[in-house]
Amino acid sequence: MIYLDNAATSFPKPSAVREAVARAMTLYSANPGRSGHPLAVSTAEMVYRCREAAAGLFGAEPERVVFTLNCTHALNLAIKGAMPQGGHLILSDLEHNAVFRPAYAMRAAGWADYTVARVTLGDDDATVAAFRRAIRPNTAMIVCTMASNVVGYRPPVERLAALARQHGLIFVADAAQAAGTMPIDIGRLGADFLCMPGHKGLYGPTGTGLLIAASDRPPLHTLCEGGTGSRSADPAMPEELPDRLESGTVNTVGIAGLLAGIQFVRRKTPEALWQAEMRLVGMLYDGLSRIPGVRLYTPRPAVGRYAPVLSFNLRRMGSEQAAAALAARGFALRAGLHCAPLAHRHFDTLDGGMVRVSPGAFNTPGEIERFVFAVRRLAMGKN
Amino acid sequence: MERVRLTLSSVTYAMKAQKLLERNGLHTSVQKAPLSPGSKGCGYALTVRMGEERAAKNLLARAGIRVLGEGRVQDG
Repeated sequence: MIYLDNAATSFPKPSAVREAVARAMTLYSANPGRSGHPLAVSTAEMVYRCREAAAGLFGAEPERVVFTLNCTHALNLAIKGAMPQGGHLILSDLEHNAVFRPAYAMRAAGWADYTVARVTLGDDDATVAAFRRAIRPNTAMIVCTMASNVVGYRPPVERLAALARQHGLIFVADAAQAAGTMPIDIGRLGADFLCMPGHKGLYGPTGTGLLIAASDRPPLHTLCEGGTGSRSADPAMPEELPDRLESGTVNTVGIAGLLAGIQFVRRKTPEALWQAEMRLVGMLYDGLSRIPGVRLYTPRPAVGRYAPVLSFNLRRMGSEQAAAALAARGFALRAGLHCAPLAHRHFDTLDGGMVRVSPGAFNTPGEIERFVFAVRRLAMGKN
Repeated sequence: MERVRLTLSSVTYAMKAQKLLERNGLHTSVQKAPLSPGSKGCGYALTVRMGEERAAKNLLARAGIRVLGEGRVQDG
């Protein structure tokens, strides 16, 4: 199998990640932050090392690194936790359902409203203007993806964060396709909250994610309350991060793997990974664009403005049928709507979806050549 | 030997404090903070050598790490 579905989750994981997970089942399987015996303390030390590693990668403080189940969980914590009643949220028209559904749910519950702002590919001024026009007196937040999970496009997030700051709004960045794939510094970005999965560009196990806060403001309302191993006599959740947002036992084995994944990314560097993976995307785009019957949806993706995600369609068959045919030829892809109906509405593919290709750190130019060859044969109706 | 126990707000802050103090040459160990009347219960503490507690508290204060309580503890 040639795995080209890293936008869903990265595979394979580095050997260090697999080994860390296996080791953790023996060495780090106590409950951190609950007991005082050596196994609990050493597990807590490992968990803290992961916070430190994440903080170092994203320019944050370790105590503002919150472990979550995944990026969706992190986004829900940030969006619902910071949205005041009667508030208003602006999100882009490329957002994943991890952003859109919380917004929709808040509107349905009568808690807050939202506006979808159009991203104009290649025209940052138009994009920023669309967000600016959407601001109302009760707007509290802007949420924007750092890279579309359908076409990889990177909106002008720094300018949108600046717009949010200018108007006293919270800025939440969805780094699902960006974390580990490109350099991110939460301070330079200007985001209040950075949300990411541990299992995509950070090469950690599934069941891990991070919510990183730039500061202690604004304090987030909790969505889940429970034991934190701290201030147990107080019925209220602690006010300080990370405990405030980490009730119950964290995924210690997953965090051990995530630590190894972050160390892998830091060794390779996000800059080098981005360059290498975008070279593959460039090869992919060049190859696919020469195949009659293939439809592409963006200009040639370039480092700086795209994550390594590219989607296409074959005119002679639907996206799911094409992905199934390519899976039969040994290629792991995702087709359909990618949990991003807003993005597919943007590209007018809501009825049929697209076939998404997302290389990762372990893909090679030879694999991309083989993939393009397979698509060409499929487009020509050959086996 | 007696050591000074500095109680912190959570295990995360205990770890952060430990790293800070050890970077500055102060030997520490992490332990559960004992329950005491009026405390909110369940917390973690660092122990430092007697005589080093002032330096430790100054470093922690400069780093914005709150010490919630202080006590004495015997080694071993």
